[in-house]
Amino acid sequence: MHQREIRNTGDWANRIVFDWATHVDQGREEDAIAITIIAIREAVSRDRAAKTLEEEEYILGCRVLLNALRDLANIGLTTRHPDWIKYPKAVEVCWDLSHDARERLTSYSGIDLDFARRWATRATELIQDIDSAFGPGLYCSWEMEFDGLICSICGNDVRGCEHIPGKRYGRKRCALTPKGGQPRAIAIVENPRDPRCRIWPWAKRREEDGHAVVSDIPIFKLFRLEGNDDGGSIVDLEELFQFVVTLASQEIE
Amino acid sequence: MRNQIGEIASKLGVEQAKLEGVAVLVLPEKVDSEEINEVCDAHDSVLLAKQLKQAGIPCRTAYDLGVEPRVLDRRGADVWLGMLWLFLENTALPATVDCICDWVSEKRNAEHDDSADKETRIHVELRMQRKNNTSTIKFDGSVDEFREVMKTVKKIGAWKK
Repeated sequence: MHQREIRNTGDWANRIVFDWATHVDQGREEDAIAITIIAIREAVSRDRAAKTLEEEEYILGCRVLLNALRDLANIGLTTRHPDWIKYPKAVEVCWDLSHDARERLTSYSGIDLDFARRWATRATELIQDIDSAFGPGLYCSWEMEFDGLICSICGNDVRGCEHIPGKRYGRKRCALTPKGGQPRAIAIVENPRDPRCRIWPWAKRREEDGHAVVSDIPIFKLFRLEGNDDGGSIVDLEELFQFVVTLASQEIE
Repeated sequence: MRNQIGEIASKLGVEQAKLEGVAVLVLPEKVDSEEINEVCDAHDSVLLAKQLKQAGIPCRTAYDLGVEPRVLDRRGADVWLGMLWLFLENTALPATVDCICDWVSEKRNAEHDDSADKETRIHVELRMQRKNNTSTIKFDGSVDEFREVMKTVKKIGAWKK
């Protein structure tokens, strides 16, 4: 049972995780998603009221974890459909959610390791299932040229300051903001930095003159570990299971 | 014989003497073959230089020397390090090599994808300087191969002058 694997996540978060696991165990993913969305909103309020760095860090960890739980419950809800792998939208959503969940569970050190590993493995298995069905895939990868990279701590070019990206300084974490960017190229690669920018077989169509055209492919997807302040949403099953594709005739050559 | 480090120093607008005591120069890609206002720092090399400096390695970048190259960010999983100019006679060379290898391994581990057999590759031009002699290795390979090359660089650095 999932509940036994949950520990050391703190009192408030622990209670929510326990409730989430109970709902998931009983196949009530909708309820599991609802409690995580509400909890994320509560975490946002708590974050605003936080008085110490420790409090802020604890809430940040909770937000990352709660977003991962919502992603996992959304995956559970989608894959409940026996033929989900035949539906392009469902596959795309499961792919993105699996990567989101795995990144959240493995990138943030405040989450209990055994718990994170178990659920990250679940996300990895789903990614492998999709890779087995559609092959390793091709991905979009852009190159951008920037005039500089601005440090969020001191506002100077990061090449000339002493702050280290990703490190905390007081209550702020050092982050880089690109200055004056312009795209240089878009490449199609097998090994992308962001696997969410995958080119799916159904993005291809054949023109009358025989040329293959690939359209509606993602070049860049925004992703934040701590998610959005509104807590995210539940997947729209009606939208996901609208169209089926016959994959054999749609593969990218 | 061409004095390559002298040429680079002159291109960056600094006297060669200013590079004394430096263990590694982290430079933009193609810095010796293109106009200085055309070259770009690789995004990964900016982060590597920060790490080297934090570890106390005597490291300089083109930016430190007064040039402000643009930054090129490639959204692939590979690591692009531009040009690393290593001074073999500097006593900090072993620590420099270790720091570079650790950083590259950490980056590989952070981005490793368990779900697929996708290997992070390193792209870098290594220049090794001893007195006025420069050797070049253009490297495009795996993290493990890169570590082996760097181990050899460390050994060469330890040879008697």
